[in-house]
Amino acid sequence: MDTELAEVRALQAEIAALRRACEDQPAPWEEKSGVQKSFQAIQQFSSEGWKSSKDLKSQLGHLESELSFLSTLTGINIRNYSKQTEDLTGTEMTEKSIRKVLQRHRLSGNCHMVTFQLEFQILEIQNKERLSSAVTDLNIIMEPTECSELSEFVSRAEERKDLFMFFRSLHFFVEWFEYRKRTFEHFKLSNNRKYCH
Amino acid sequence: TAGILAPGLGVLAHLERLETQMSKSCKQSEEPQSVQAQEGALGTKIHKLRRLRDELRAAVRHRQASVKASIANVEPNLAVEMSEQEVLEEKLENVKAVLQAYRFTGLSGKLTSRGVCVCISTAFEGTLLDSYFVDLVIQKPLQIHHHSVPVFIPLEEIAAKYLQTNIQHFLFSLCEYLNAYSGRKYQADRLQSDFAALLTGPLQRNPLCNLLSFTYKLDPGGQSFPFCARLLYKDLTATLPTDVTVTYQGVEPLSTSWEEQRASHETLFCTKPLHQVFASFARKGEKLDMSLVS
Repeated sequence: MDTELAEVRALQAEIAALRRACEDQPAPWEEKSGVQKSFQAIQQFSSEGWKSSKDLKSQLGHLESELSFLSTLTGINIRNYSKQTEDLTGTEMTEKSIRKVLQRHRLSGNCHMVTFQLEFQILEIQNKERLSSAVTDLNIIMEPTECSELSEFVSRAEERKDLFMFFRSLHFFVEWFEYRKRTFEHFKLSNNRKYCH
Repeated sequence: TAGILAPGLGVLAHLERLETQMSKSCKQSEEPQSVQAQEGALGTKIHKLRRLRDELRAAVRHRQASVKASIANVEPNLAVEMSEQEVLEEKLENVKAVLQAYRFTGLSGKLTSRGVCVCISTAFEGTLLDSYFVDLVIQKPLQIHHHSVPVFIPLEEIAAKYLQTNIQHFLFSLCEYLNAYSGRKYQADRLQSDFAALLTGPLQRNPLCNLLSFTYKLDPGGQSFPFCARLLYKDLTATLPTDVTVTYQGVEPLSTSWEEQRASHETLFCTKPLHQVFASFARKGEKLDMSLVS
């Protein structure tokens, strides 16, 4: 029932935000003349801070090269990421200056031919002295599923809620696998050459 | 244009109807109900909320579309530009989000005017700990411009081995050292903060947290003498000690059962994180108390 209650809260928050977006427009829009409407629309266009295409393109280019760098460095290619935040601070906690926030993260991507999908929760508790952050739930879905060594370290990472261990192991495992494949191919080729001559 | 704007009106009226329905069913669900009925009501509520949310999303999109359409009448180029921008904005949002997500791999970073600033995140099992950064200048030879790595981590050694030939290896190795240090520090901090009652003196530790010394008692306030533990972590990339000695601080020799305990503690400290060992001590202590009461 807890997940349902959480979904209700998340939906209510989204609905409130969408209502605000709807209400931003002044009501008697439809009665104005064509020219007035266009003026208003153009005003809204520039006031909403829609940047020029050039700015956006150069920003996008810069960030995409950053992404490419990180992907090469870590060996991990993240394609999608989304996050939801839920404030769990009760009134009692606010009085004691304690803040509790639950984050729900979802990310997916691949490491060479292995694809992964992660869903995890992080609980953040802030009190007067410090902020503590802990992974409270970790679910990992991998493709391909047949490899036993892969599934082994995946279950260990899930058990220990160890995100970093998962990504490091994944990277090393895939590198080792690729290396083995290349070495095997190399020997196959050189053997073929031997027999062909 | 009237044709495009009128549905907007209709959608809002429809939404208002949905919302009134929602508040009515809210009032109904305030009456006491069985768990099953509650769960059923919750499911229906979620269903209605989802519909409301989807309708609102459509209304917002309608709004944006009608703005674009009226602009297109007067400024068609502007309208095309707006569509292009929406696509770009969405792409930008996605890329920004994915960049944020890289910190969950343990390694993330930003491009700088000089090169790159890499951020190393550390964690111990599920607990997220401190981050460190290394600012690299891309030139020959590759240089570390500045960093936040603690002075007792052998950064120069690791850099000498790998930085010039393999940046990835350099960073992975540094990651190992930093994560291990963070993990050892975390265990020592937890021991001090959560199990002070079982310690009979201050916890002694070095900055690298690879040499710990402390005295403890399983039954604080009891008659037994405390044990003295010395933990040495020779492997700086590990979070478990390599050398453990537990000694007894009394004058008389230990009885067999106490000697067994002493030996088992040595094994425990070698195989389990420090604070988890003490957590099991505390649980055993609770069990003992319970038996005294009954």
